[in-house]
Amino acid sequence: MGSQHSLDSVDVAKRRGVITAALGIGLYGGALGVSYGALANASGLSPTQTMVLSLVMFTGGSQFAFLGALHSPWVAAVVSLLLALRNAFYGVRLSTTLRTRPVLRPLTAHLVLDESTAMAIAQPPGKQARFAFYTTGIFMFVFWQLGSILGVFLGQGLDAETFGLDVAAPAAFIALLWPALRTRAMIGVAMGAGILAAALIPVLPAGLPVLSTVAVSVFAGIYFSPSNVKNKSHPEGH
Amino acid sequence: MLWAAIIVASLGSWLIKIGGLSLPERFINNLYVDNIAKFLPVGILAALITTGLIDAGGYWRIDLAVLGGFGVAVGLLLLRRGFLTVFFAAIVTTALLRLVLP
Repeated sequence: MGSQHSLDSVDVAKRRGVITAALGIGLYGGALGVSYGALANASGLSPTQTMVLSLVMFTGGSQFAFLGALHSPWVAAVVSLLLALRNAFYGVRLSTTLRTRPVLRPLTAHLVLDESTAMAIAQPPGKQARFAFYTTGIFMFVFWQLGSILGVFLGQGLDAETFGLDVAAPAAFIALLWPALRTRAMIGVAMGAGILAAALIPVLPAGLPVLSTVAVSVFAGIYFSPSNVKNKSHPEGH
Repeated sequence: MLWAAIIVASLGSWLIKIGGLSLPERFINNLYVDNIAKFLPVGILAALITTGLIDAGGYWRIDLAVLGGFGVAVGLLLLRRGFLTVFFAAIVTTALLRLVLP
């Protein structure tokens, strides 16, 4: 290769890198979509209901949470909406990074995900962030839908318990939770919420044990103000 | 009722995303809001984990096959494996334990 690149070829190389990464993320999302589709089917959702969630809700963690709390549909709705709240915080950061036109906002908003946000904020604001955001978001959308449909078909006639699918939701949640368990405050909230919900299972109607733990998060959020967290948590490692 | 919950949750998720893109940045600079927002998913996920593991519809039940699969998931996370490896290893473990355990 020559030692000098024109600005355009640097740009093209960067874009190729973004596309490759986005494609990888999309395929990974597709595989996750397959398991979502199969689990939704095993949980008793019709194929149409499964796909409405994938097409409109389109945020994996919330969709799994919806299935996890399905024994009471309205609790499932509240739980999934609470988990979706993080997307609003991504949105606040993205609005200055992407600088999209207000007309495109509903479309742009639909593609706000953990993955598309991570890809966008890794780029310089403006054109490059937009390219990374839309490429990742669109790949994720397409593969997530294809995966969900495939999962629904593969899951037909599958007995959830025989195939170990009843561990799918807890396994997905612990894997989603794991990266957040870096400070003592986070570990404390996770333990507190987990124990509280478990203790309330025989006491409260289905779904409410999970919702009751919102109190733990709100309390911790007020108690551990950021200055406190710095004093009380120490880096990992012993 | 299931349909209504699906539609409310789906449109609600979309509106939350649109709201985020429309909010001013000073909103997340509020310390309490920012802090609670960080803890909220952690608490909910932890609660979903314990109820998913031991809730048998209003009473506790220990299912060794499920706990075994979950244990494998935790072990693989400690070994820094990726999401899909953890996810599928847990399912396969639970399925195999169901074959073996009485």
